[in-house]
Amino acid sequence: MRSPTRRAATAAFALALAATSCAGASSADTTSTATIGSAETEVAAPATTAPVNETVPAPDDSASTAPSTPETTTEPETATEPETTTEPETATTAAILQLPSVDVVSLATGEMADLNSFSRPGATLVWFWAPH
Amino acid sequence: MAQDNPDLHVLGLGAQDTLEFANEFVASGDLANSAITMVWDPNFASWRDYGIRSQPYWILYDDQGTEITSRPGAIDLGAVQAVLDA
Repeated sequence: MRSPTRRAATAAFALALAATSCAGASSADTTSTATIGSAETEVAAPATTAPVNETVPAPDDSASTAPSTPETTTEPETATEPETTTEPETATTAAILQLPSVDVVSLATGEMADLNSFSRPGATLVWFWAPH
Repeated sequence: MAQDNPDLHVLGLGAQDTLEFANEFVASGDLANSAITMVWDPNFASWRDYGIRSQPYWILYDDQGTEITSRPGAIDLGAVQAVLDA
């Protein structure tokens, strides 16, 4: 079983615990807690388990969460896809002069065409002329 | 003027007489090789639409299709250039 020195040490530790937890307790109480304290010392050993907790913050947890963060980074990429809005391009179409829709002869080709088909973007000078 | 101002589109809209006369007019003025778009209206429909009663006559539009000025007679190159420079 336990050695006498260890038993004495656990009893002293239990007394110390009782003294810090309830300073005004009776001696009888301290003795009773001493026996209880011996059981606590078994748990008190957790002093050795504390380092285990220190190892918890190890990168294992970060590694386990790491895969989740890339997943969230890929999602925003898909969220950026809707930004492809081509509608503004249609707004850039230049205004074109509306000419009367009448048939005229193109003197470059000799063919009949709608006058409005000769409208072009930009400033326009319409020059009315007659052959004679 | 049209060659010196590529951004200006000059449309020569002829009427009266015949198509043969119109082609002779273009050939004599070497307009076929110019930057001017030459067309001929055989029935005055376009001139009536514009209310043109004499010629020559010219109308200047800006790049938004808005009429800037219109005058009978020879084209006022200074006025046209002023619009292009604005």
